[in-house]
Amino acid sequence: MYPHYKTKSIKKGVTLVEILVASAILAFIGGIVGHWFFLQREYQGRIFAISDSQQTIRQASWAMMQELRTARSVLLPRINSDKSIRSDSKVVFKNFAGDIICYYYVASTRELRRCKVPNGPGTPSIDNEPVASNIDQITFTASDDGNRLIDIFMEVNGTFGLESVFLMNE
Amino acid sequence: MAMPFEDIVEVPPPGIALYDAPAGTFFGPFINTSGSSSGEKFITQGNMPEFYSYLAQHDFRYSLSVSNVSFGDGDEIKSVGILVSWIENNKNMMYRLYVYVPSL
Repeated sequence: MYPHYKTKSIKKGVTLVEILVASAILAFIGGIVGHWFFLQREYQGRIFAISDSQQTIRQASWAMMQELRTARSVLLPRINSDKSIRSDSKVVFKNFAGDIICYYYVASTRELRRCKVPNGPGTPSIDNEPVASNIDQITFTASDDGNRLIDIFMEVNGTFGLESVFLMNE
Repeated sequence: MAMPFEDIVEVPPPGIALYDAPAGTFFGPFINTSGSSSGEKFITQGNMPEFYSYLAQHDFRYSLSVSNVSFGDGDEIKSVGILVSWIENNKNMMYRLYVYVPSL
């Protein structure tokens, strides 16, 4: 009665084209997810690096500020004779006990180190451990008439720190 | 970052940029490794490119809120609010610090 009507045969399995399309879609989704994970890891790495740098700056600043704040006087740097500010990569001061203390930057090893010349008998000594490592630059600046204000500018891996210390003891 | 007492005056927001700061402001000049004022360096693109970029990228600025208190006999105290502002992740950030500055 209906000669043109044919019952469709039921297919089993998948064709090669379907597999290729599915693979392409999966690869596309995988690529997006993989790239997102890569970006997240990269972003996380950058955050950790900045955090480490900030920690280095904080620790180094804290150590120097504690000692500088109670120092008797700063020997270097001191403002110029024409009252202009004066900067140096080291700071030398007399601490509350009368010892001469020097914090200085060693460019070759990128370290900040501390040296002490005792008040009275004894030999000058350099601390075994550096105050901080991986420092790109550090500058101590004397900027007031009384040489009681020292600004500390530090760079660690593209992160910057700026602190001011006012000597309370002079 | 030292300034004569009489020069500590109100600096209204948005304040003065730390980069390209004019002479006589807190951050101008910034460093000087020479023995005279001729060697003073400001935070400019030419003098300190990386630090300049960092400050400019986040638009670091400072403003001052100054109140005068006098106890007579020429003695005077300034209450100085230091407001440092910057932009981070498209958000306006601010750090506040208050200090008392005596005239003597």
